[in-house]
Amino acid sequence: MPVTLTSLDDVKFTVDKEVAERSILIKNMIEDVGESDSPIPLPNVSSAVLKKVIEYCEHHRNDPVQVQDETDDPRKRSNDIEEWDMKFMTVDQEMLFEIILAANYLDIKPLLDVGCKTVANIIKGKTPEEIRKVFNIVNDFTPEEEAQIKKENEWAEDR
Amino acid sequence: MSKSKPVNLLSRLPTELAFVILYQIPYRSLTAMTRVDRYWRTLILQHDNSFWYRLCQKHGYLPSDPVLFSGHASGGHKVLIQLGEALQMRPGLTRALEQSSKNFEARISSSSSPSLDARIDKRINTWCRLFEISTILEAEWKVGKPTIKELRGHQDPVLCVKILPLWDRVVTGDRSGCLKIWCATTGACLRTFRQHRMGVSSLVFQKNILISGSWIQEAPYLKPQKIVDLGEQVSSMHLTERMELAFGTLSGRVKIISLKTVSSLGTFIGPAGTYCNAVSLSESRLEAAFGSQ
Repeated sequence: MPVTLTSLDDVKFTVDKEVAERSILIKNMIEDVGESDSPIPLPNVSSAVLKKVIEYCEHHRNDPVQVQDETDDPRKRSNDIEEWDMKFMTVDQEMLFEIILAANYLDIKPLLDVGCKTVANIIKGKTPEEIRKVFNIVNDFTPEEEAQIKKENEWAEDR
Repeated sequence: MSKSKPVNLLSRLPTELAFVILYQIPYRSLTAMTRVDRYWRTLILQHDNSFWYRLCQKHGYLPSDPVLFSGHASGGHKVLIQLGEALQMRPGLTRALEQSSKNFEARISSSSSPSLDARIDKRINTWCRLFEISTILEAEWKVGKPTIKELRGHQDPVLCVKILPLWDRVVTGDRSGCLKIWCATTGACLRTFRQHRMGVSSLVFQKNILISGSWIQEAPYLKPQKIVDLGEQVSSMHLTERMELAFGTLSGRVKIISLKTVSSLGTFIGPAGTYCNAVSLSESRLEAAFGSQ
């Protein structure tokens, strides 16, 4: 049973209901509206991003629905991103953040997790200066403040 | 989409999403993030009860309790335990912190970095601080190696060991009745006593009196040296601060005597066909474990 989604810039995408329902937002909308042919408007998502999101949902259409369980042991849970997802996430920063925001809006938790993990992996292991460079963040500390902070962290970073 | 001017997209994320990302970053990178700019520093350090409490939970620095929350890392959940309570459950933490900071300060003052201020703020008054300290101490624990020492000298199997930390001594008794005293630091055997004619089954120590119990009905005191015939084969002992000695015997009895008055305080009989393996005496109760021959 196909479903039509309309993006911010009025581009229509037709997908299987099963694929569309990876998004809890869309799933709820379909339930509320009932069986109808009218397209579902997604005014917060541009076509380029929606295309990527649909690609993700298509690939993961058969995944078991994730249970909202935050009490799992982080040591047991794998922190690895699977290969397909990693390739999928090899996009420029702008697209990466757009995907994260779209996944949040559309309530697609696995995609949100993968996006956030990707950003986390970028941050991991970098010095503050490197982080600033990657994300174009301006350093607004005064030199005195910086020295003070560095001193506070001396013991932690001694390891 | 062309980038005419580099834009800081990371900081534009809604805070709930920022926390989903931060939650997955290891501690060192979190520290790095607090040095990136004021926005990130405030964001990370401010959310103590939400973010840092959850991180403490995630890493097992708190006793496990069911977390009831909905949504993302920063929003809508209950703090189920107070910081003071959490610290009480980890009494070793302050000691470990004390030791670790001593080592750090010693290292800094001995190296040639006069600009480095070695004093560390040891107060744990936020979840953030608890997390920081727990993480650092865990790292130290993993890196440190235990020193294993062997005390060689006994010809027969060693049956009991007593460590006397204040005296820096280890006392051991073996199956042939030989008693040895070792220096705990060097591992050298300092004295050997062969007064027991049968195995030394147990050692107890209070104040400066060491008592060794043996299967051959004797219990020599070491300081001052004295042999007391307890009239029973001793298999286990317990000595209280008030110098009451409870000892279990191979005949299945537990006797209590007062060392001050050298008189018997009581005798208890255990199940038939057993001997007393372990005994413990306190203010109000005597506990004994019996095993079969």
